[in-house]
Amino acid sequence: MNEYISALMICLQPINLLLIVAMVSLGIVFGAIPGLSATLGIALLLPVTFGLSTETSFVLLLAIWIGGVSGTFISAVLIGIPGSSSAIATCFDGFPMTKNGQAGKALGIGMTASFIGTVGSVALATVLSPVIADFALHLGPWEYFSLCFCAITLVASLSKGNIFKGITAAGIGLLMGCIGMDPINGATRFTFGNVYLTAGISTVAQMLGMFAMCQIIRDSAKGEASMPDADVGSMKGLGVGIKDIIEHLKTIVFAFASGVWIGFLPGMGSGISNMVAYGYAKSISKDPDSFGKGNPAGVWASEVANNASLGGALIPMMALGIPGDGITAMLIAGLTIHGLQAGPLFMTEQPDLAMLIFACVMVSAIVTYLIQIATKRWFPYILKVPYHYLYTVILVICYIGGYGISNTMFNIYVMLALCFLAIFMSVAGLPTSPLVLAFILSSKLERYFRQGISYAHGSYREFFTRPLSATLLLISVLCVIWPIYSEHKKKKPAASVSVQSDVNDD
Amino acid sequence: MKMRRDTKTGIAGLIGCAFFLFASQSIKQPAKLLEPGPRLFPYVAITLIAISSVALIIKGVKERAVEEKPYFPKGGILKISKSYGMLVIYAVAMNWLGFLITTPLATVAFIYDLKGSSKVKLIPSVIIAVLVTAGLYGMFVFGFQVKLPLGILFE
Repeated sequence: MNEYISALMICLQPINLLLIVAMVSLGIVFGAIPGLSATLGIALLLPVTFGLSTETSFVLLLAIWIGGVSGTFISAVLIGIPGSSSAIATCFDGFPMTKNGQAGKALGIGMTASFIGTVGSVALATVLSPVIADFALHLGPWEYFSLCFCAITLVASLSKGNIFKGITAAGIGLLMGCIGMDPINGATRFTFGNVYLTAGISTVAQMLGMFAMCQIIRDSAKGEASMPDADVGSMKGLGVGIKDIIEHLKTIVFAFASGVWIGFLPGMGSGISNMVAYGYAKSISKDPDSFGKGNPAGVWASEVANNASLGGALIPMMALGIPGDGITAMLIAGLTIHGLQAGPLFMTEQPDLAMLIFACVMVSAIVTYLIQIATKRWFPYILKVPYHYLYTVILVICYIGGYGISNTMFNIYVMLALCFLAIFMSVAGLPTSPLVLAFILSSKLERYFRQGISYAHGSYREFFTRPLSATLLLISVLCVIWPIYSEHKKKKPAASVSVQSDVNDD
Repeated sequence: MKMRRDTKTGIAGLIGCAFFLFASQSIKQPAKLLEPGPRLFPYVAITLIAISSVALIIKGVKERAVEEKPYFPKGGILKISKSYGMLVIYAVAMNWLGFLITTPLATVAFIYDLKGSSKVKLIPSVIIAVLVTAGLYGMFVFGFQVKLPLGILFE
């Protein structure tokens, strides 16, 4: 508790509070504009953190994350285009509310629901993470390997379209993680005589090339860099009262619980939780036909759930060092830049920093809500930012970030190569989430696997005889087999669809 | 009949696997290890990609009769190639001429490249390019202490 209060005091220091306000505002803008995202915001900020203290770095990264995740409902409500996949269900009723002249109310619900989801789930994560981390300290390399393996297979199996595309992407991520020195013997792999490659592929270069650069030139080539005008009507007041919350309490509670649980599971972040909660809200409604025509319950369900997933994703990240999605993978990369390793040891050895993360998320959530209340009437203007100017600035920042990794041009070339790979993957319909997760976890996965065999004197048996490890491996196998089995069972002819990429998925 | 994207992806995957399998042979494997050694994970990754690639080829062949919508609209491939080419030129030029000379030029070029159907005027674009370069240079070099390339010709 003392550590939490100290962490809260650090966040409330004037300079940090100012940074939180600035980054949350930037995050809201990134979240609101379709095509930009919290993921992109964090990717751009990672190089900025090189010269900053660990505390300040995390204040920046977490604040832009919270603002970015919360801001996704703005375009969903105002123009019917979700800022990211986490706000898809918000469009279903948020945009019809705008068309019915209730934009102010829909935005008010979005703001309040985001606040409830984030604050509640982060409070839960703050309490649960140390308990899970304590338990995790008793686990050996066998369980850790199985846990990492399970996380990757879960994400790969949930990939859009086809599990084999998810597995291919995860394989590419593992292969990329193999570049450089191996984590046990220090043998060099796939360096082709290049000394810069000995240190492996930089996570920052990967994020900038595969997320930021690829997304900008791809959207431009697809002609997706433009937006319709929003017709907003009255924007006075918050638009929501206690009465509204009480009226939709059942929906809020379920959306919160499902959001936290889905966020906790690797690969099933806010992109899924908002749809699940929306489906539930519709199923318990006395007037299900009103859904899709501007029922406020739809916005409550979607927004509480997608923000509650945020706290859910924090639990495995903090307690186990396992990123649940692309954003938490980047936050782990942010910790790595500062020589820190997320996981149970981090929670016990550096409780002050761990608590700073929880406290900063909490403060950012409150600041986000206050900023949104104060600036609600200007939300439509965010969507009028000219893309060509914004994207140009982002591209230049990518180059600065790439150069700043090692003060050489090498990482800029790596960034360009990875941008090319991301474009190829996008066209091929290969998802990026399994690649990112496999890349981030590859060294852990390899180290735990080889340590496990080494500790067992060359035996593989421990992976299958230790109960938790065996259970996780069984889940992994089921994750791979089930989609193949169900696809085979359906035997549906494939529809003629354009391949969608999930580069923007948060 | 036109080859589906899944088939092409599978073939590209197999070619990639063959390349990395060949490259894996040069990884030095220490003798008398209790564990599988540094070659294991590259092999695992290659196997995963190879199996999935074969599955994608089979899927593509099975669904070859189903029509596939193009990923990019008309002219999109040319547009993305041009944009990517500009990114490469900017990187190479920055290496030789440094950040301060290349960035204003690249910024104007990017603005025109990304403008889509929007109307853009040259003078405001040049002013924005100079301001963006100066602003970012000041912010990163003086604010965040991040070094920026001076250019081989000026070092």
